[in-house]
Amino acid sequence: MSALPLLEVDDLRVTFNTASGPVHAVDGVSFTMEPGASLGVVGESGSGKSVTARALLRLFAITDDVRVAGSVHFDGVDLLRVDERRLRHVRGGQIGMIFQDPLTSLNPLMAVGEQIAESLRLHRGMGRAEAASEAVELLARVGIADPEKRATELPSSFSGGMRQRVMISLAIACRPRLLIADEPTTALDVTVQAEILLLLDELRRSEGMALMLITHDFGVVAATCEDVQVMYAGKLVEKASMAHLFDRANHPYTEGLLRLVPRFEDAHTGRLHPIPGQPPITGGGGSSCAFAPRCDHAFDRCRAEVPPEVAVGPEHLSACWLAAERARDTIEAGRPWKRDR
Amino acid sequence: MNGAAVVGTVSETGAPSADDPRRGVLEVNDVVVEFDTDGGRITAVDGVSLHLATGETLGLVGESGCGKSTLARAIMQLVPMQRGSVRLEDTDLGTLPRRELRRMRHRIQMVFQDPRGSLDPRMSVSTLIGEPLRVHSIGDRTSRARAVAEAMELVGLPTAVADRLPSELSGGQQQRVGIARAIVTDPAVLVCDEPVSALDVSIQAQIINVLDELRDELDLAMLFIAHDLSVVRHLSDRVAVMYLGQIVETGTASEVFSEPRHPYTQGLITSVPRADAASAARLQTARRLVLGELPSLLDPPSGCRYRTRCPYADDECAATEPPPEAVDHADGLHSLRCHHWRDIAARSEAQPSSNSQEQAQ
Amino acid sequence: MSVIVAKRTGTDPGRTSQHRVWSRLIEALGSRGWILLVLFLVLLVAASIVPDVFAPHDHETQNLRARLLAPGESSPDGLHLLGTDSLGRDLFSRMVIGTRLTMFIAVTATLIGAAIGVLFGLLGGYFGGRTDRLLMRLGEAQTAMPMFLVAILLLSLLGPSVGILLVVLPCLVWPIFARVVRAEALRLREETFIEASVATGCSTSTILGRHLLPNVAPRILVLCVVEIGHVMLSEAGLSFLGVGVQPPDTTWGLLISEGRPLLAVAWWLTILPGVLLGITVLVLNLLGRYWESRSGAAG
Repeated sequence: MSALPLLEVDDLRVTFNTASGPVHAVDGVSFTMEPGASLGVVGESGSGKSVTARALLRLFAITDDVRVAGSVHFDGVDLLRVDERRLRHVRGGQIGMIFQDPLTSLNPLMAVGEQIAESLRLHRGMGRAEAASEAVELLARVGIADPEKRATELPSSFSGGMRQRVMISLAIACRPRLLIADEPTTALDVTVQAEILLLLDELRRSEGMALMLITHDFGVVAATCEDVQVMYAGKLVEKASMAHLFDRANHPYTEGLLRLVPRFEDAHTGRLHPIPGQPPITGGGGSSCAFAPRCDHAFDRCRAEVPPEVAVGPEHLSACWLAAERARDTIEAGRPWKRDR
Repeated sequence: MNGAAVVGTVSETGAPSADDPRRGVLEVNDVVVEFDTDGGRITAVDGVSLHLATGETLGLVGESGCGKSTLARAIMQLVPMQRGSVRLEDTDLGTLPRRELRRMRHRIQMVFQDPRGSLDPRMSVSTLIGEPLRVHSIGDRTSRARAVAEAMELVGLPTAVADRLPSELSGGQQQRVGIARAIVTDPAVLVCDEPVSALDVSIQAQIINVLDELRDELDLAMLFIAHDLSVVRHLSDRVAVMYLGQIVETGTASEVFSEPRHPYTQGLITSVPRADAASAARLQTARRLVLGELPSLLDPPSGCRYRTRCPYADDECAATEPPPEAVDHADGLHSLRCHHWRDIAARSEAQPSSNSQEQAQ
Repeated sequence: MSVIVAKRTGTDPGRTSQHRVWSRLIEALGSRGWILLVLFLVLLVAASIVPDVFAPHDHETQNLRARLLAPGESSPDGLHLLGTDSLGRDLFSRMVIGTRLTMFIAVTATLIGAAIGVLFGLLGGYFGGRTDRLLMRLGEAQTAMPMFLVAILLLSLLGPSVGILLVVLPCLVWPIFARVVRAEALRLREETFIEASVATGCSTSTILGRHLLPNVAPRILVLCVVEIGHVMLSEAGLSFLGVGVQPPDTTWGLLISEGRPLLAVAWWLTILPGVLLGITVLVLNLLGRYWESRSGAAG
């Protein structure tokens, strides 16, 4: 913990003004990442996990009517306040990004090797020849066979998994210190997913970059990330180390997510347990626990006040009134962090 | 193809003979589907046989492009078959004249992947659900209305949505409409083609529960196609693993998933990311078992289809195509196509399998 | 994905400059302007149903003392708002009377053309293959011929009559309907819900009639509105050339034709029916495109 944090997000708020009123997509999110850390961000669609990632680099569509508040310090610089020119340097330079659908992020009319080389020339100031050979090197690095030949091909001639590899090689081309991967394997088959996850993990270790992986699948996080944070309605509801979370999930929403999907190792064991109801479409911004309407354990306080983040274990935070009250009781009883169910 | 030589052993993957008590409502025998593509002619489904009994769910798994959706469409008679037969309750669908086939369709229905796209955007929910009854002239106006209301209740749709258009529903509700439409004619067989993969995780669980309940309540025979192995394991009694147009391993879900024999099945299963401490280690094993990417159907490998990705492949695999072979001690349902499965099994017994290693960790 | 995109609705960038003009006109209409357009059409329809309510004079009464009165002048019979013709008949009344036949021919011919075009388009688009090729070649062959000239030839050979017009005019418009409907049917054929209805057991006629047709209906309606205007122009053209509607029946096109020799002395006889025709065609076009832009945004 002595190292200076690589990324320090403080009270990030993203509000979209839509025709049907404001949507608080991200509602006061704070977290830090050390250099070389790996962090999984988990949540349902609409939980604000992707918007958080995009807000870090101010990546919004031109048509978005959006307001971003808070601060995002990357290497000591507040990315929300630097000018567009500096930010462009960070994007694709010090912070790489990969998305669910690589095809939309690659130029369909440009050979993949050229696209990587272009980025190298732009961010690393390489010459034409040097960049071209480095591009081939990078393609080999992400496990693309016959990289010299494939570098000359268009993105459309690559399969889904190979395309994602190209995207990754593009993202790591400039040796970023942070790689943000937004649902990088959701569209892929399990076998290809396994390869991509392994590749990400390997690259993180060998290049010493930090990895922020956004997904709805705890299994994916378990395979690649040491830390995990769960988002709901624009807020972080639980933060923990992944190893810690498996059997000690605290927040009812996290528990719900973990129970939601059939676990592979279980054969048919009765019905699944869907979380009743739907996430609020307006995001956060309320004056109560946003999850209370769907929560089995909700009591009066949950509907009246926003729960604080409380420590429920070593480096384990949960934003839940139940945890808060239990923590208070156990501290009073002299047994901090011990839970009984 | 392997012709007559394998007929003796094929019964485990294929349709049981007439006096077999396992004889099912749906019997698919040696189905071949070919397509013309820009690159040439491909065989998307290459001699697939399977059977399905009342109240039973068969899960069909495999990577995208393995032909599982095409097989579903061939069974539904939505794409032409080059060879083989699909028998539904002792009627061969492939040889029926169009009109007769249309009359049979209320006995076999399908749930599609894209919930929104599979519903006519200009029809209300109740019209959509009632349509199968109308086109098959089942019942009169009042009994149809009752059947629609019952179907809506079965799939958990509130009566308030009856007059809405599909675009006014959530993804989960749209898929419930799709399911209600499929069960309203009281079919014998329900073919589900990736019914939850387009839905958000929390909705997936709801839809899986709906299918699970319906199967029990209506005694449906269900063919459940998905690439998510956890979901398939949760719902299926038996599974068939498809690779490049062929079924490479089939058996009861518990057998195949807990003791996979085919290297491809082993690879698939270890690839599933699980939320536990061994997750990262397991992926390393997976990579060893499934090398690289799916070969192109335009140029399928000679001999065993899987040999290009298989760590155990040798010359025999390149030379001859392995016939379906029954796993001896199993209940007669478990069979696979692999020359070396005995050696592989023996090897993993000699040195504890990767699976048990992980469990020990 | 959890990206919440706040889309700002804007006008289509515009494929051609003509398209841009139309979208600018529609923009100028605003959200209430179209009510005026509808009101205009309602008046036209009312005039063709009960012309006597609108016409201040009898349209056939001749008055040689009141020949060629300019708009606004009065005769002993009263005020002639739009003037009189060479026989002293009240122009406004004649235009009102002409509305009925003008509208009747345009609407009927468009509907006949639409019916043929929709049928061919649906069949061709859904079945594809040989059916499609045959029907589309037919349409193309016809589009390639100078149909207006063929129409003139036909009408002068067979002798002009309203009946023949209702055969000739639909021929001018059906290929347009067939093309639009075919394109829509081709697109819809690939939608899963069509596959789903086959799987459900729907017959081909059910699929065409209950699934494809309702989904193309909005486009057909919009096209009808626009094409009524075009058919109106064609009819006016034919009548102007003397091979269309014959006196004593009257349409706007015939009025223009009758006034043409007197253009130098009585401009109103050609210009005013012409303006009415022009406005009507413009209104129909605007309404059609307005609806199209609205339904396009919704669907």
